[in-house]
Amino acid sequence: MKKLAIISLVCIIIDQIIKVVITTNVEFAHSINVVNNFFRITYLQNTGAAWSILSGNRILLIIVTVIALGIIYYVFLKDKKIKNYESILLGLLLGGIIGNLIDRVRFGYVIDYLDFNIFSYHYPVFNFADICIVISIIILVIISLKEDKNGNNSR
Amino acid sequence: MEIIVDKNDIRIDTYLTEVTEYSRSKIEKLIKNNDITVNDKEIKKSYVLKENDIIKINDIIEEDINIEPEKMDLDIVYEDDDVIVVNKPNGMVVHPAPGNYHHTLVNGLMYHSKLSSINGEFRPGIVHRIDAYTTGLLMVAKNDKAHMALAKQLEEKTTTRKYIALVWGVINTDTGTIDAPIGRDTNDRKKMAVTDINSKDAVTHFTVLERYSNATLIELKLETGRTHQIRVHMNYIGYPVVNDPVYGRRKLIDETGQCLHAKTLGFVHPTTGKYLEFDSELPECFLNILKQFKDS
Repeated sequence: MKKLAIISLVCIIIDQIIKVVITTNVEFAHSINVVNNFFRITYLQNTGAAWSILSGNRILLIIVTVIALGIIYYVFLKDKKIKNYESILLGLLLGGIIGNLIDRVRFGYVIDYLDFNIFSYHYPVFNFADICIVISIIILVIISLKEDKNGNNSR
Repeated sequence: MEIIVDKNDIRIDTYLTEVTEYSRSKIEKLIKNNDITVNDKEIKKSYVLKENDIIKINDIIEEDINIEPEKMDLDIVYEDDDVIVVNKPNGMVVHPAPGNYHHTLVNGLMYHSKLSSINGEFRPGIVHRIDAYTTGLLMVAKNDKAHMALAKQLEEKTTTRKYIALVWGVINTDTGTIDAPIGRDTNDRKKMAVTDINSKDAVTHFTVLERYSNATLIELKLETGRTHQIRVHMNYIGYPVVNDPVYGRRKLIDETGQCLHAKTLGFVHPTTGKYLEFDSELPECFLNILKQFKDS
Protein backbone atom coordinates (compact mmCIF):
# COMPACT_ATOMS: atom_id res chain seq x y z
CA MET A 1 0.00 0.00 0.00
CA LYS A 2 2.84 2.35 0.84
CA LYS A 3 4.57 1.48 -2.40
CA LEU A 4 1.37 2.16 -4.31
CA ALA A 5 1.04 5.60 -2.74
CA ILE A 6 4.64 6.51 -3.52
CA ILE A 7 4.31 5.43 -7.16
CA SER A 8 1.07 7.36 -7.52
CA LEU A 9 2.65 10.45 -6.05
CA VAL A 10 5.70 10.20 -8.32
CA CYS A 11 3.39 9.90 -11.36
CA ILE A 12 1.37 12.91 -10.27
CA ILE A 13 4.48 15.03 -9.64
CA ILE A 14 6.09 14.13 -13.00
CA ASP A 15 2.79 14.74 -14.78
CA GLN A 16 2.23 18.13 -13.15
CA ILE A 17 5.83 19.28 -13.67
CA ILE A 18 5.66 18.46 -17.40
CA LYS A 19 2.35 20.32 -17.66
CA VAL A 20 3.83 23.42 -15.99
CA VAL A 21 6.83 23.28 -18.35
CA ILE A 22 4.54 22.98 -21.37
CA THR A 23 2.10 25.72 -20.41
CA THR A 24 4.84 28.21 -19.52
CA ASN A 25 6.92 27.56 -22.64
CA VAL A 26 4.45 26.72 -25.40
CA GLU A 27 1.57 28.94 -26.48
CA PHE A 28 -1.85 27.38 -26.69
CA ALA A 29 -2.37 25.47 -29.98
CA HIS A 30 1.28 25.96 -30.90
CA SER A 31 3.15 23.03 -32.29
CA ILE A 32 6.87 22.25 -32.02
CA ASN A 33 8.34 19.78 -34.46
CA VAL A 34 10.51 17.24 -32.61
CA VAL A 35 10.87 14.28 -34.96
CA ASN A 36 9.88 14.96 -38.56
CA ASN A 37 6.48 13.57 -39.41
CA PHE A 38 6.39 11.45 -36.27
CA PHE A 39 6.42 13.47 -33.08
CA ARG A 40 5.44 17.05 -32.31
CA ILE A 41 4.74 18.82 -29.05
CA THR A 42 1.41 20.59 -29.36
CA TYR A 43 -0.19 22.29 -26.38
CA LEU A 44 -3.94 21.64 -26.33
CA GLN A 45 -6.63 21.96 -23.69
CA ASN A 46 -9.01 19.01 -23.73
CA THR A 47 -12.37 19.73 -22.15
CA GLY A 48 -13.58 16.18 -22.88
CA ALA A 49 -12.40 12.71 -21.93
CA ALA A 50 -10.29 10.55 -24.28
CA TRP A 51 -10.72 11.56 -27.95
CA SER A 52 -12.62 14.63 -26.70
CA ILE A 53 -15.78 12.63 -25.90
CA LEU A 54 -18.17 14.37 -23.53
CA SER A 55 -16.47 17.60 -24.49
CA GLY A 56 -17.43 20.49 -22.23
CA ASN A 57 -19.11 18.47 -19.47
CA ARG A 58 -16.69 19.48 -16.73
CA ILE A 59 -18.78 18.53 -13.69
CA LEU A 60 -19.95 15.24 -15.20
CA LEU A 61 -16.38 14.27 -16.06
CA ILE A 62 -15.16 15.09 -12.55
CA ILE A 63 -17.98 12.99 -11.04
CA VAL A 64 -17.22 10.08 -13.39
CA THR A 65 -13.54 10.28 -12.44
CA VAL A 66 -14.28 10.24 -8.72
CA ILE A 67 -16.63 7.27 -9.16
CA ALA A 68 -13.90 5.46 -11.12
CA LEU A 69 -11.45 6.08 -8.30
CA GLY A 70 -14.02 4.67 -5.83
CA ILE A 71 -14.57 1.56 -7.93
CA ILE A 72 -10.84 0.95 -8.23
CA TYR A 73 -10.52 1.26 -4.47
CA TYR A 74 -13.33 -1.21 -3.72
CA VAL A 75 -12.40 -3.74 -6.39
CA PHE A 76 -8.65 -3.80 -5.96
CA LEU A 77 -7.69 -2.30 -2.65
CA LYS A 78 -10.25 -2.48 0.15
CA ASP A 79 -9.42 -5.38 2.51
CA LYS A 80 -7.22 -6.93 -0.18
CA LYS A 81 -3.68 -8.12 0.01
CA ILE A 82 -2.10 -6.76 -3.14
CA LYS A 83 0.86 -8.29 -4.84
CA ASN A 84 4.01 -6.35 -5.58
CA TYR A 85 3.36 -5.90 -9.31
CA GLU A 86 -0.23 -4.89 -8.58
CA SER A 87 0.88 -2.04 -6.36
CA ILE A 88 3.11 -0.75 -9.18
CA LEU A 89 0.35 -1.00 -11.81
CA LEU A 90 -2.39 0.39 -9.59
CA GLY A 91 -0.01 3.17 -8.53
CA LEU A 92 0.46 4.13 -12.19
CA LEU A 93 -3.28 3.93 -12.82
CA LEU A 94 -4.30 6.06 -9.84
CA GLY A 95 -1.45 8.52 -10.43
CA GLY A 96 -2.53 9.02 -14.03
CA ILE A 97 -6.19 9.44 -13.16
CA ILE A 98 -5.45 11.89 -10.35
CA GLY A 99 -2.96 13.82 -12.53
CA ASN A 100 -5.66 14.53 -15.09
CA LEU A 101 -8.29 15.11 -12.40
CA ILE A 102 -6.14 17.88 -10.91
CA ASP A 103 -6.18 19.69 -14.29
CA ARG A 104 -9.90 19.26 -14.68
CA VAL A 105 -10.64 20.66 -11.25
CA ARG A 106 -8.15 23.52 -11.56
CA PHE A 107 -8.79 24.60 -15.16
CA GLY A 108 -11.83 22.70 -16.42
CA TYR A 109 -9.70 21.00 -19.08
CA VAL A 110 -6.81 18.57 -19.29
CA ILE A 111 -3.46 19.76 -20.62
CA ASP A 112 -2.38 17.59 -23.57
CA TYR A 113 0.91 17.90 -25.43
CA LEU A 114 2.14 14.61 -26.95
CA ASP A 115 1.30 14.71 -30.65
CA PHE A 116 2.16 11.59 -32.65
CA ASN A 117 1.73 10.79 -36.29
CA ILE A 118 1.94 7.02 -36.67
CA PHE A 119 1.72 5.53 -40.18
CA SER A 120 0.19 8.80 -41.38
CA TYR A 121 -2.55 8.56 -38.79
CA HIS A 122 -2.72 11.66 -36.67
CA TYR A 123 -3.26 10.30 -33.21
CA PRO A 124 -5.26 12.54 -30.82
CA VAL A 125 -2.91 14.61 -28.66
CA PHE A 126 -2.41 13.09 -25.20
CA ASN A 127 -0.16 13.41 -22.12
CA PHE A 128 2.04 11.54 -19.65
CA ALA A 129 -0.87 10.73 -17.32
CA ASP A 130 -2.70 9.08 -20.24
CA ILE A 131 0.34 6.87 -20.84
CA CYS A 132 0.36 5.77 -17.17
CA ILE A 133 -3.36 4.95 -17.35
CA VAL A 134 -3.29 3.07 -20.65
CA ILE A 135 -0.16 1.04 -19.92
CA SER A 136 -1.31 -0.01 -16.45
CA ILE A 137 -4.77 -1.00 -17.71
CA ILE A 138 -3.37 -3.02 -20.61
CA ILE A 139 -1.01 -4.96 -18.32
CA LEU A 140 -3.72 -5.49 -15.67
CA VAL A 141 -6.10 -6.86 -18.32
CA ILE A 142 -3.45 -9.16 -19.80
CA ILE A 143 -2.57 -10.52 -16.36
CA SER A 144 -6.19 -11.10 -15.36
CA LEU A 145 -6.88 -12.87 -18.68
CA LYS A 146 -3.89 -15.12 -18.08
CA GLU A 147 -5.02 -15.90 -14.54
CA ASP A 148 -8.49 -16.81 -15.80
CA LYS A 149 -6.96 -19.10 -18.38
CA ASN A 150 -4.97 -20.90 -15.73
CA GLY A 151 -8.14 -21.39 -13.73
CA ASN A 152 -6.48 -19.52 -10.95
CA ASN A 153 -9.29 -17.79 -9.10
CA SER A 154 -7.12 -16.11 -6.56
CA ARG A 155 -9.46 -13.18 -6.45
CA MET B 1 -0.47 19.64 -67.48
CA GLU B 2 2.56 18.19 -65.72
CA ILE B 3 2.47 16.26 -62.44
CA ILE B 4 5.43 15.13 -60.37
CA VAL B 5 4.51 11.92 -58.59
CA ASP B 6 4.79 12.03 -54.81
CA LYS B 7 3.81 8.45 -54.08
CA ASN B 8 5.39 5.07 -54.72
CA ASP B 9 3.99 1.84 -56.17
CA ILE B 10 0.61 3.06 -57.25
CA ARG B 11 -1.15 2.44 -60.56
CA ILE B 12 -1.26 5.51 -62.76
CA ASP B 13 -5.03 5.37 -63.29
CA THR B 14 -5.63 5.17 -59.52
CA TYR B 15 -3.16 7.95 -58.84
CA LEU B 16 -4.60 10.31 -61.42
CA THR B 17 -8.19 9.82 -60.24
CA GLU B 18 -6.96 10.84 -56.81
CA VAL B 19 -4.86 13.87 -57.69
CA THR B 20 -6.71 15.29 -60.69
CA GLU B 21 -10.33 16.12 -61.22
CA TYR B 22 -10.56 13.77 -64.21
CA SER B 23 -12.87 10.78 -63.98
CA ARG B 24 -11.36 7.32 -64.26
CA SER B 25 -12.95 6.71 -67.65
CA LYS B 26 -11.58 10.02 -68.90
CA ILE B 27 -8.10 9.04 -67.71
CA GLU B 28 -8.37 5.66 -69.42
CA LYS B 29 -9.38 7.39 -72.62
CA LEU B 30 -6.43 9.78 -72.40
CA ILE B 31 -4.03 6.88 -71.75
CA LYS B 32 -5.47 4.92 -74.67
CA ASN B 33 -4.89 7.89 -76.95
CA ASN B 34 -1.32 8.18 -75.66
CA ASP B 35 -2.08 11.62 -74.31
CA ILE B 36 -0.64 10.71 -70.93
CA THR B 37 3.08 9.96 -70.75
CA VAL B 38 5.37 9.10 -67.86
CA ASN B 39 8.92 10.45 -68.17
CA ASP B 40 8.04 11.11 -71.83
CA LYS B 41 7.26 7.42 -72.48
CA GLU B 42 3.89 6.07 -73.50
CA ILE B 43 2.35 3.81 -70.88
CA LYS B 44 -0.59 1.50 -70.16
CA LYS B 45 -3.22 2.20 -67.56
CA SER B 46 -1.78 -0.56 -65.37
CA TYR B 47 1.58 1.21 -65.24
CA VAL B 48 2.94 1.42 -61.68
CA LEU B 49 4.40 4.78 -60.74
CA LYS B 50 7.52 5.57 -58.78
CA GLU B 51 8.09 8.71 -56.76
CA ASN B 52 9.33 11.68 -58.81
CA ASP B 53 8.08 10.23 -62.11
CA ILE B 54 6.90 13.06 -64.33
CA ILE B 55 3.43 12.60 -65.77
CA LYS B 56 2.47 14.75 -68.73
CA ILE B 57 -1.14 15.09 -69.69
CA ASN B 58 -1.84 16.40 -73.13
CA ASP B 59 -5.51 17.03 -72.96
CA ILE B 60 -6.45 17.50 -76.59
CA ILE B 61 -9.80 15.81 -76.08
CA GLU B 62 -10.63 18.89 -74.07
CA GLU B 63 -10.50 21.11 -77.15
CA ASP B 64 -14.27 21.27 -77.14
CA ILE B 65 -14.23 22.93 -73.72
CA ASN B 66 -15.83 26.24 -73.81
CA ILE B 67 -16.28 28.14 -70.61
CA GLU B 68 -19.41 30.10 -71.26
CA PRO B 69 -20.57 33.25 -69.56
CA GLU B 70 -23.79 32.64 -67.64
CA LYS B 71 -26.27 35.16 -66.37
CA MET B 72 -26.28 34.97 -62.59
CA ASP B 73 -27.57 37.00 -59.72
CA LEU B 74 -24.26 37.89 -58.08
CA ASP B 75 -23.86 39.83 -54.84
CA ILE B 76 -21.28 42.38 -55.98
CA VAL B 77 -20.04 44.42 -53.02
CA TYR B 78 -17.70 46.73 -54.93
CA GLU B 79 -16.72 47.27 -58.52
CA ASP B 80 -14.65 49.69 -60.59
CA ASP B 81 -12.58 49.42 -63.79
CA ASP B 82 -9.95 47.21 -62.15
CA VAL B 83 -11.46 45.06 -59.44
CA ILE B 84 -14.66 43.38 -58.34
CA VAL B 85 -15.35 42.32 -54.77
CA VAL B 86 -18.03 39.66 -54.72
CA ASN B 87 -19.81 37.92 -51.85
CA LYS B 88 -19.83 34.26 -52.86
CA PRO B 89 -22.92 32.29 -51.85
CA ASN B 90 -22.85 28.86 -50.22
CA GLY B 91 -22.21 25.91 -52.53
CA MET B 92 -20.87 27.87 -55.51
CA VAL B 93 -17.58 26.68 -56.98
CA VAL B 94 -15.17 29.56 -57.71
CA HIS B 95 -13.83 28.52 -61.09
CA PRO B 96 -14.28 25.77 -63.69
CA ALA B 97 -12.02 22.71 -63.64
CA PRO B 98 -11.71 19.69 -65.95
CA GLY B 99 -15.07 17.95 -65.79
CA ASN B 100 -16.95 20.93 -64.40
CA TYR B 101 -17.41 23.88 -66.74
CA HIS B 102 -20.71 25.39 -65.73
CA HIS B 103 -22.38 27.37 -62.98
CA THR B 104 -19.17 28.53 -61.32
CA LEU B 105 -18.56 32.05 -60.05
CA VAL B 106 -16.24 32.62 -63.02
CA ASN B 107 -19.08 31.83 -65.47
CA GLY B 108 -21.21 34.46 -63.78
CA LEU B 109 -18.43 37.04 -63.62
CA MET B 110 -17.62 36.52 -67.31
CA TYR B 111 -21.18 37.44 -68.16
CA HIS B 112 -20.90 40.46 -65.90
CA SER B 113 -17.63 41.94 -67.20
CA LYS B 114 -14.27 41.35 -68.79
CA LEU B 115 -11.72 39.57 -66.57
CA SER B 116 -7.93 39.30 -66.39
CA SER B 117 -6.41 36.51 -68.47
CA ILE B 118 -3.07 35.65 -66.87
CA ASN B 119 -4.40 32.81 -64.74
CA GLY B 120 -5.44 30.74 -67.77
CA GLU B 121 -8.80 30.00 -69.35
CA PHE B 122 -10.11 28.09 -66.34
CA ARG B 123 -9.45 30.89 -63.90
CA PRO B 124 -9.94 34.28 -65.52
CA GLY B 125 -9.83 37.07 -62.95
CA ILE B 126 -9.16 34.72 -60.06
CA VAL B 127 -6.34 35.78 -57.74
CA HIS B 128 -7.38 33.74 -54.70
CA ARG B 129 -10.02 31.15 -53.89
CA ILE B 130 -12.36 30.02 -51.18
CA ASP B 131 -13.91 26.55 -50.99
CA ALA B 132 -17.27 25.86 -52.60
CA TYR B 133 -19.09 25.61 -49.27
CA THR B 134 -17.22 28.52 -47.71
CA THR B 135 -19.09 31.79 -48.16
CA GLY B 136 -17.87 35.36 -48.29
CA LEU B 137 -15.73 37.96 -49.96
CA LEU B 138 -13.48 37.31 -52.90
CA MET B 139 -11.59 39.88 -54.94
CA VAL B 140 -11.45 39.44 -58.70
CA ALA B 141 -9.18 41.22 -61.21
CA LYS B 142 -10.71 42.74 -64.31
CA ASN B 143 -7.43 43.28 -66.13
CA ASP B 144 -3.93 41.85 -66.06
CA LYS B 145 -2.37 44.89 -64.42
CA ALA B 146 -4.82 44.69 -61.52
CA HIS B 147 -4.33 40.92 -61.37
CA MET B 148 -0.57 41.25 -60.90
CA ALA B 149 -0.95 43.96 -58.28
CA LEU B 150 -3.44 41.90 -56.23
CA ALA B 151 -1.43 38.67 -56.62
CA LYS B 152 1.66 40.49 -55.37
CA GLN B 153 -0.18 41.69 -52.26
CA LEU B 154 -1.39 38.16 -51.56
CA GLU B 155 2.12 36.83 -51.94
CA GLU B 156 3.54 39.52 -49.67
CA LYS B 157 0.71 38.86 -47.18
CA THR B 158 -0.32 42.50 -47.08
CA THR B 159 -4.01 41.85 -47.70
CA THR B 160 -6.49 41.65 -44.85
CA ARG B 161 -8.48 38.44 -44.76
CA LYS B 162 -10.63 37.74 -41.76
CA TYR B 163 -12.84 34.70 -41.48
CA ILE B 164 -15.55 33.74 -39.04
CA ALA B 165 -15.95 30.09 -38.11
CA LEU B 166 -18.05 28.09 -35.71
CA VAL B 167 -16.03 25.23 -34.24
CA TRP B 168 -16.92 22.26 -32.05
CA GLY B 169 -15.74 22.41 -28.45
CA VAL B 170 -15.18 25.31 -26.08
CA ILE B 171 -11.87 27.11 -26.56
CA ASN B 172 -10.79 28.44 -23.16
CA THR B 173 -7.93 30.64 -24.33
CA ASP B 174 -8.97 33.95 -25.90
CA THR B 175 -6.42 33.94 -28.70
CA GLY B 176 -4.12 31.43 -30.30
CA THR B 177 -1.86 30.73 -33.24
CA ILE B 178 -1.62 27.45 -35.09
CA ASP B 179 1.67 26.97 -36.86
CA ALA B 180 1.80 23.55 -38.51
CA PRO B 181 2.68 22.67 -42.12
CA ILE B 182 -0.07 21.49 -44.48
CA GLY B 183 0.24 19.06 -47.38
CA ARG B 184 -1.76 16.32 -49.02
CA ASP B 185 -2.98 13.57 -46.71
CA THR B 186 -0.89 10.53 -47.66
CA ASN B 187 -3.83 8.21 -46.94
CA ASP B 188 -6.45 10.16 -48.83
CA ARG B 189 -5.16 12.29 -51.68
CA LYS B 190 -8.31 14.37 -51.84
CA LYS B 191 -7.80 15.60 -48.30
CA MET B 192 -5.19 17.88 -46.83
CA ALA B 193 -3.49 17.26 -43.48
CA VAL B 194 -0.82 18.53 -41.13
CA THR B 195 2.25 16.65 -42.31
CA ASP B 196 5.97 17.12 -42.84
CA ILE B 197 5.91 15.27 -46.16
CA ASN B 198 5.66 17.56 -49.22
CA SER B 199 4.05 20.25 -47.14
CA LYS B 200 4.25 24.01 -46.87
CA ASP B 201 4.25 26.27 -43.83
CA ALA B 202 0.82 27.35 -42.69
CA VAL B 203 -0.03 29.84 -39.95
CA THR B 204 -3.51 30.62 -38.63
CA HIS B 205 -4.34 33.13 -35.87
CA PHE B 206 -7.65 32.95 -34.07
CA THR B 207 -9.57 35.03 -31.55
CA VAL B 208 -12.57 33.80 -29.58
CA LEU B 209 -15.72 35.88 -30.19
CA GLU B 210 -18.32 33.91 -28.28
CA ARG B 211 -18.52 30.65 -26.36
CA TYR B 212 -21.53 28.32 -26.35
CA SER B 213 -22.12 25.15 -24.34
CA ASN B 214 -20.31 22.92 -26.84
CA ALA B 215 -19.05 25.21 -29.59
CA THR B 216 -17.06 28.43 -30.04
CA LEU B 217 -17.46 31.26 -32.53
CA ILE B 218 -14.03 32.47 -33.62
CA GLU B 219 -12.45 35.04 -35.91
CA LEU B 220 -9.47 33.88 -37.93
CA LYS B 221 -6.65 35.68 -39.71
CA LEU B 222 -4.50 33.80 -42.14
CA GLU B 223 -0.81 34.37 -42.65
CA THR B 224 -0.74 31.80 -45.43
CA GLY B 225 -3.46 30.60 -47.76
CA ARG B 226 -3.08 26.84 -48.05
CA THR B 227 -5.88 24.66 -49.41
CA HIS B 228 -8.44 23.99 -46.64
CA GLN B 229 -6.11 25.71 -44.15
CA ILE B 230 -8.66 26.76 -41.53
CA ARG B 231 -10.56 23.48 -41.71
CA VAL B 232 -7.39 21.39 -41.39
CA HIS B 233 -5.83 23.51 -38.66
CA MET B 234 -8.93 23.69 -36.46
CA ASN B 235 -9.45 19.94 -36.81
CA TYR B 236 -5.77 19.44 -35.94
CA ILE B 237 -6.06 21.19 -32.59
CA GLY B 238 -9.26 19.32 -31.74
CA TYR B 239 -11.85 22.01 -32.57
CA PRO B 240 -13.14 20.99 -36.01
CA VAL B 241 -15.33 23.41 -37.97
CA VAL B 242 -19.02 22.68 -37.37
CA ASN B 243 -20.88 20.98 -40.24
CA ASP B 244 -17.69 20.33 -42.23
CA PRO B 245 -18.37 17.24 -44.36
CA VAL B 246 -14.66 16.44 -44.82
CA TYR B 247 -12.83 17.50 -41.65
CA GLY B 248 -15.76 17.97 -39.26
CA ARG B 249 -15.46 14.66 -37.39
CA ARG B 250 -18.91 15.16 -35.83
CA LYS B 251 -22.43 14.74 -37.12
CA LEU B 252 -23.54 17.06 -39.90
CA ILE B 253 -26.35 19.48 -39.19
CA ASP B 254 -27.48 20.19 -42.75
CA GLU B 255 -26.28 20.17 -46.34
CA THR B 256 -24.74 23.65 -46.39
CA GLY B 257 -21.22 22.56 -45.48
CA GLN B 258 -18.65 24.04 -43.08
CA CYS B 259 -19.64 27.06 -40.96
CA LEU B 260 -16.91 29.22 -42.41
CA HIS B 261 -17.35 32.70 -43.83
CA ALA B 262 -14.77 35.05 -45.38
CA LYS B 263 -16.04 38.13 -43.59
CA THR B 264 -13.53 40.91 -44.20
CA LEU B 265 -11.31 41.59 -47.20
CA GLY B 266 -8.89 44.50 -47.45
CA PHE B 267 -6.33 45.37 -50.12
CA VAL B 268 -4.55 48.29 -51.73
CA HIS B 269 -6.29 49.36 -54.91
CA PRO B 270 -4.11 48.54 -57.96
CA THR B 271 -4.37 51.98 -59.57
CA THR B 272 -5.33 54.49 -56.89
CA GLY B 273 -3.01 53.00 -54.25
CA LYS B 274 -5.71 53.56 -51.66
CA TYR B 275 -6.43 50.89 -49.05
CA LEU B 276 -9.95 49.50 -49.35
CA GLU B 277 -11.65 47.26 -46.84
CA PHE B 278 -14.96 45.45 -47.21
CA ASP B 279 -17.10 43.67 -44.71
CA SER B 280 -19.93 41.19 -45.14
CA GLU B 281 -22.68 39.74 -42.99
CA LEU B 282 -22.84 36.08 -42.03
CA PRO B 283 -25.00 34.21 -44.57
CA GLU B 284 -28.33 32.63 -43.73
CA CYS B 285 -26.99 29.05 -43.69
CA PHE B 286 -24.39 30.04 -41.10
CA LEU B 287 -26.88 32.00 -38.97
CA ASN B 288 -29.32 29.08 -38.98
CA ILE B 289 -26.76 26.74 -37.48
CA LEU B 290 -25.44 29.41 -35.12
CA LYS B 291 -28.94 29.95 -33.77
CA GLN B 292 -29.17 26.30 -32.75
CA PHE B 293 -26.00 26.66 -30.68
CA LYS B 294 -27.09 29.97 -29.15
CA ASP B 295 -30.40 28.48 -28.10
CA SER B 296 -28.98 25.35 -26.54
